[in-house]
Amino acid sequence: MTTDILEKQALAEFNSGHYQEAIKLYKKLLQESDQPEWNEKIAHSYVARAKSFAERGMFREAAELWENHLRFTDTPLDEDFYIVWLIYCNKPDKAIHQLSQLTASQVDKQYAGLAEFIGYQALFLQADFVSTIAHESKFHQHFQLAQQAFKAYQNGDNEQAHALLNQLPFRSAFKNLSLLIKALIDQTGERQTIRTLLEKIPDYSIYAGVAKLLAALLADYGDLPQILNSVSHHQQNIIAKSLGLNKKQIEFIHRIQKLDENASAKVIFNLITTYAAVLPTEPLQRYCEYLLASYPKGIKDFQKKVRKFNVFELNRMQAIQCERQHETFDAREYWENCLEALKKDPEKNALKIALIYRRLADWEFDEEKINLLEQSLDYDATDKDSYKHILTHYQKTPQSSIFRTWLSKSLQQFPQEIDFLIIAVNAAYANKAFKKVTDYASQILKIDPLNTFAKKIMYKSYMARAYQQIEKKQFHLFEAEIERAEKLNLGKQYQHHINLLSGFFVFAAEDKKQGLRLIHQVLIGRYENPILMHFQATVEAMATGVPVSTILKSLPVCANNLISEAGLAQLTEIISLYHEEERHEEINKALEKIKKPLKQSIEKQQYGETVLLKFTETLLNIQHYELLRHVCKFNGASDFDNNIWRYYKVIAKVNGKPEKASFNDRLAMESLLEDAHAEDDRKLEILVNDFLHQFQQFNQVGDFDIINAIFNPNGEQDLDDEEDELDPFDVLFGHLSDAVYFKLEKQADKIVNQYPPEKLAKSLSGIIDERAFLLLIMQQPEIYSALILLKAAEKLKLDIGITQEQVVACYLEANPETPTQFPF
Amino acid sequence: MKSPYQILDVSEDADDALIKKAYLLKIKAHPPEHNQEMFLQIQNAYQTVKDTKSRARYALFNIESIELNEFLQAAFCENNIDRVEPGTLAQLLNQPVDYALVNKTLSKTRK
Repeated sequence: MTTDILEKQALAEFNSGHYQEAIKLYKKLLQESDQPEWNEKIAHSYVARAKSFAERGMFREAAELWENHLRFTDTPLDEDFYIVWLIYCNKPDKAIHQLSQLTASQVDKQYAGLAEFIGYQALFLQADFVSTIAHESKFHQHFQLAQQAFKAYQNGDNEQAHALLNQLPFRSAFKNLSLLIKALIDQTGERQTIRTLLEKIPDYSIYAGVAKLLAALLADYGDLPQILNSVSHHQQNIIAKSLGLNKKQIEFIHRIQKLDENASAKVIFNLITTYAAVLPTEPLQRYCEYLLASYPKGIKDFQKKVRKFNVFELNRMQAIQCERQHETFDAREYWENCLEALKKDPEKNALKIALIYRRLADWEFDEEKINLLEQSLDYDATDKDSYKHILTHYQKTPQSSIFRTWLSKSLQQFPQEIDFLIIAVNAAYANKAFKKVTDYASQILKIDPLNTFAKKIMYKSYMARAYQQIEKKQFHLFEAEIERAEKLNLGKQYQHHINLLSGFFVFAAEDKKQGLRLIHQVLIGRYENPILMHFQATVEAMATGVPVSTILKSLPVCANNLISEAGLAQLTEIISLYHEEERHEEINKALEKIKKPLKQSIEKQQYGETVLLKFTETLLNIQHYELLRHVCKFNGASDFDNNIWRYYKVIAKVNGKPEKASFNDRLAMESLLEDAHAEDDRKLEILVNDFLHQFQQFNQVGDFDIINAIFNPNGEQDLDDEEDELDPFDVLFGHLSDAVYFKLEKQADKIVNQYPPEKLAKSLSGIIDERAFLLLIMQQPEIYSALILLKAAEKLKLDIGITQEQVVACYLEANPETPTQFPF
Repeated sequence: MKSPYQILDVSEDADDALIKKAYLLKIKAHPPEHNQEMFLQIQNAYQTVKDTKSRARYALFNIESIELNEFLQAAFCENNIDRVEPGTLAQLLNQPVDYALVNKTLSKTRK
């Protein structure tokens, strides 16, 4: 091998940290030529190997390797390390000798770390290395000051200690000791100040370990476990003693520290409960309770080792655990148990009881939800949302006494609540209690003077009374109502209505000619198209009891007119307004009058989709299926892509009655539902779902058989449908609300032992042969649960609409191989 | 995860007024333009505990989330000392220094 290659190889080993190999190769090279550079490399390699040995605690070997390096260099490397290794391998004489070789400058400047180490050894480990240090070094003076200061601090003379420490310059082997002592002298101050002083000691100082320990001692808990693990057993004992920790607690801290970062709740829970006896109760309980949410099986251990839960708390914990796992059904049972426990002191626990009722109500619908909310208000009558839900539920029947009661309760509790006042206004309007409408609407306007809803309903109310007065011929009262309506200043459209009604008033009460002129004037001023004039005039004439034909005769003929797109939009608007006023009869009659030109318009005009959709939607609202069909036939369904036309087409065809739909219509709707879902058209999805739901209700019996018969006339079984087969249990009990089902199940648990299968078999002897029944139970064990639920319903006197015969028939149908004997 | 009380920096028995005051201070210190997430967290915390009913709801339907370290801190808060005695310092210093630390000292302080 050539020298060049050997040198390259040696350098590569050196650079890779393979010093032993590097030494061998460089020694080989030296045999060929004594290059100073190669000598240096060998010297560095020896020192590097020495350091590596020292890091593994092999100080003697380290010292020997260092000594070897001297053969290859005139300038010794890292003497400070060598001195430390000599001390660590207990060769003080050699260490003293080596120290004596260092100059004052080396001690004070070059080897500051060594000086700090030697100072520590001399001060606290009684190692006398100080005398060997160069006499001219500042170390001696600083050592004296540090020694005296520490002595003063030990003797409680903090002032003296402080004064001495202040004499130490910044560049001193004892500056970090100075910070340490000053921090402890300053202990009367804020803990944070002490910690800040301690943190000034750099983490590479000889005093860093002790500084961290002191900081941990003075911390609330902090890094104590980590620090305890990094100190000697002796230091642990000192800390434990200072902190008042016993052996078990130290052991616990060590074990906690060794836990994996991702340890499961179960592992932590088990460890903590093992040491329960040495941990303070309150934090232990709280933390265990938190862990139990993720590790519910620990409840038994918790009760055994930590404390007994009270009934409420135990059930609360379990309810929350169930909620977190989305097991609402079980959660409900635990919350019910909580209610039972809390009701033992209802006054004290009123809010909790109310909140639990509301929680339960969140999972319910309709009457069950309302019932729970009503119960919640018995315990906390101040919950606005509960009143809102209850009122919204009952406002479907605004005449009912229950609605009136709840409205009154709600307004009593929240007289300034606009939402409640709106419900009250609507109810009063529906009941035609116009005085109340204006009262409630005035209250709303007092709270919110710009509330448009209140203004509009007041307007409707005044106008309704104005109509009444014309009809009743109480003309003297008419003007006052009209004046009030006018004062609301709702805009042109409303003013037009007021003017028109005034015309009818004049016609009915004062002067027919003058009245006709006024009506004509208002309608001509408002509409360009006679179709619209005829429509509104018809409605108003009917509403005021004025002869329709007389009024219509005075208007331009509408028969040969076509309605423009703007006109159709206007017509849609007027129909909607009258629909809001519930003038159904008048609307239908008026539409009848303009049906011919309207139909012609739909056939001949090319309306934009937006206007036409709005018109169609209005036709659906007023349930005018004849015109709806016409729109679908001539304009909408064929011309536009929007899926909604497919819906209108079917709904128009069946006159809005899903029960009249054919199975083809149902299939069309199902296909539409899929498309609506795919296009994320939520509104259409709701409409179609509603249609299908109603269709289903009217076609429940034999529905599936008919569909199967249509698609599977040969009776071949479609394998894909197997998974969709209905579970008999769901067929029988699927209609029950969760709450009813839960009650049944609870009761069933109580009575199940009273009805062994044999006893049940006997009780069913009139329905099914005993043997056949027992055989059926073996094949369909669920039938037993189903029958027990029926027994539970009997006990609870609940009519769930299922008989034993239906249960048996249902399971027999699901399991046709069972030999049967039907007496019925 | 911090509880709403910890987020607002108030004790669990603080009343409405105190909680509101703490909330206003917090949102002033953490406006949305500085840290939107923090701001929302503070708002959410306030909504959760702002009045008697919301606090009762929180207490009833929540199991407090506690970190292991928080538990240890609470468990050993009694094991605190107000001051380190000179004797303790002497005892701690009267121990050979771990070589790893010495190695660090020598390496880092070299001129």
